[in-house]
Amino acid sequence: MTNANSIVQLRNISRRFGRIQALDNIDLDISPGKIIGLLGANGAGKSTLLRHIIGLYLPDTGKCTTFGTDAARLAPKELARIGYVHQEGELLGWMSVKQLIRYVSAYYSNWNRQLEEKYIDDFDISIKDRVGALSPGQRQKLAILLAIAFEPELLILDEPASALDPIARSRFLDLLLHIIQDEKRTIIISSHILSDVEKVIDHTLIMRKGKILRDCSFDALREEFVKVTLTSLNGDLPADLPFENIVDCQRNNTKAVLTVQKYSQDQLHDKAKAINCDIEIRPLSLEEIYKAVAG
Amino acid sequence: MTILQANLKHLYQRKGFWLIAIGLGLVAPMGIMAIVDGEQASFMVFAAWIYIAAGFTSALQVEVLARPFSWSLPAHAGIPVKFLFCIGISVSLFWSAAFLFYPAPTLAEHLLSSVSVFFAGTIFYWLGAWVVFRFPNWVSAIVLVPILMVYGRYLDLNALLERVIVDAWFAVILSGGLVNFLAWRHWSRPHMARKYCGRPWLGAFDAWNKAKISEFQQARLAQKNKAIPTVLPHVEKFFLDRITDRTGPNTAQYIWGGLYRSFGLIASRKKDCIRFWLVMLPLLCFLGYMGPGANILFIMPGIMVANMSLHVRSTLLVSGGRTERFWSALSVAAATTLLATAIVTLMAALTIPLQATMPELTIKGQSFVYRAMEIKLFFIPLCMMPVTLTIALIFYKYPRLMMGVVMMIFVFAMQVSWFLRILPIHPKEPGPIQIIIIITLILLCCWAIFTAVLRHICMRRCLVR
Repeated sequence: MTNANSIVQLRNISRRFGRIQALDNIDLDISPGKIIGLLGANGAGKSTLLRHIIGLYLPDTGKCTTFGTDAARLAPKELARIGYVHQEGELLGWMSVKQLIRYVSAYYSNWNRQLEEKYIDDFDISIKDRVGALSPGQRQKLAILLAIAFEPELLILDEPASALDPIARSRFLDLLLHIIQDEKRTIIISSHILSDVEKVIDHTLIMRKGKILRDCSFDALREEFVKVTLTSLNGDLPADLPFENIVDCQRNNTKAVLTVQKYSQDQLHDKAKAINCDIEIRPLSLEEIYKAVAG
Repeated sequence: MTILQANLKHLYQRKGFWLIAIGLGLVAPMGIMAIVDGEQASFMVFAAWIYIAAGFTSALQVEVLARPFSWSLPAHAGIPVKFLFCIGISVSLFWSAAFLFYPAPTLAEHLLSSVSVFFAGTIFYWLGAWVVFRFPNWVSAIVLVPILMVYGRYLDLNALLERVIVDAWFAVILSGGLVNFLAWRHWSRPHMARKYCGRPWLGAFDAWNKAKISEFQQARLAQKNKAIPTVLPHVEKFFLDRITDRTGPNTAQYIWGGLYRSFGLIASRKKDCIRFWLVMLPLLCFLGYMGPGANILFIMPGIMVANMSLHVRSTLLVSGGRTERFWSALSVAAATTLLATAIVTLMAALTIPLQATMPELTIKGQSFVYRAMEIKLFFIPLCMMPVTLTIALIFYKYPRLMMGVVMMIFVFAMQVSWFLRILPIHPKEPGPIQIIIIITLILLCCWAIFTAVLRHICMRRCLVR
């Protein structure tokens, strides 16, 4: 995703915590106007990567630039363009929800009161409650409100929906789609709930052990991996199926279910025809793609 | 391995408990020596030792009970009572054996006092256990023990204990048996596990664990949603008016933001302020009789500030960058130091008029004259607080180590000052100008180190816990 208009550029970023290589020579460009799904197992380096972007972490080697400024030197001017929801979001427990909103909004000249009120209504947030007394789900809703109400150009969501109930998650995804209608906005979302993420993302970053395994559009990824079901039309299936890039295979004598990579629909039909099989092709879900790439 | 054995393993698996074991292990021989020599305070040492041991072992059990997983452990319901009895009987037997050396005229009295000590030990043990199980923040109950030990001698508590345990042995044995029976019934109740499962709880060694304390406070806030005061509207307005961005982002916004986060709630709690002085005034009346020891009040802010957050490693992202975090943290540190110094100095100033009014006390033939605190020591918190804050910034991940380092540095500083005083290198006392220069230099040095460390962390280090 190399782009001259990138709002975030990471060059040879490495970061080590003791014996753990959290980030390993990462190169990345993030262009505006996308919803990027950042996927990876626990400890893959997702949160570390996101924290480098906003300058909370500093790399051991390499350089991270956000909005054209070294992430370590981000000033209020640049940070006012970034919204961040953290998975262990720190909020000020002694304030009421209303007070916390007033406190955070005081820092932003472009705080959108209408959006704030709409969000409070839509997500059923009780503004009189004390922040420390909120349930994890309510805290997460509040953290999201604080991150979006000043309409940031870059919204970084680190496990934002893990504590939300299904209805709130659905509304949250709608909200993301609403936010991205402004072409200048960019959202990076890291989540383990892949069924939700796949509804909104248009770009994927898949990480494993501090490295980026994939950095491509979601459509390209969906075209790359397909699941095919081969059913023999006459006798048993051949012992060796004529596919080279098989990611996963489950078969018996007459039927095989394969996950294959880098084949066009025509190629797959031709291969099936050659071994006298009926073929059924279906795209993979993001979860299945993730398992194929990172598993 | 039985479930009870697995629970008993906690006694050596918890590294923090080793510290307690070493402490109790060091005190026990002294207690035994006191018993053998028939010294005063031997009964007090025995009672306090068992009470403290009960506190920490019971805390281990509550920690297990508070974990949701222990609720679903099969056959775990009867373990707490067995665990507590195992320890209680063992420590009481130990002290009972020690009291076989208690100087008594006859063998029968030897044996009876020893048996009486055993049952008295179980009474103190169950008292300690009850306090821990009853109060969520039980550490404060343990803190009372040293105070009782120090002032117990004026109240003749040791003699009282001795009279009761040795002379009224029959009553002690009878009440000990009853207490043990009631304790067994109390800790065997079927709903024990349900009562403590998931309960907000500060463990034996959580006093310096900020995350645990924060979790505990959050849970307590949730329980007492309406009872706890919040920021007063005029306080909020005062700070928000200064934070609000009118002319574009500037550092002052973030300084006021940091001050609001640190002092917003404190400034709103007028009743707590009144309560503080209501507690402090009688304390000042008492402190004056401690002689130079009263000046310990000047050291307290330097220790108490160890757990204070300067919001350097905060993930609540407002639009402040690293530079803004630095100035905000520095301002909060300076404001806290000035406030604490002002309060302590005011307290010291209040002891001056008290000196003229407080009477001379005579307790057991010993005279106690009220002396005002030395107000000229006001510079101590000004120097100590940046040192503590520097250590807290460096050792933020290891709160117990941080506290240890803070204590070591201050003890070292006191030793050095004492050593310098006894060295014959100063033929005459330094004059006031010299003292002012020396104190100013120390003050500047402390603050320069703190500022340098804070700036290094804010600008060059990761800002996530």
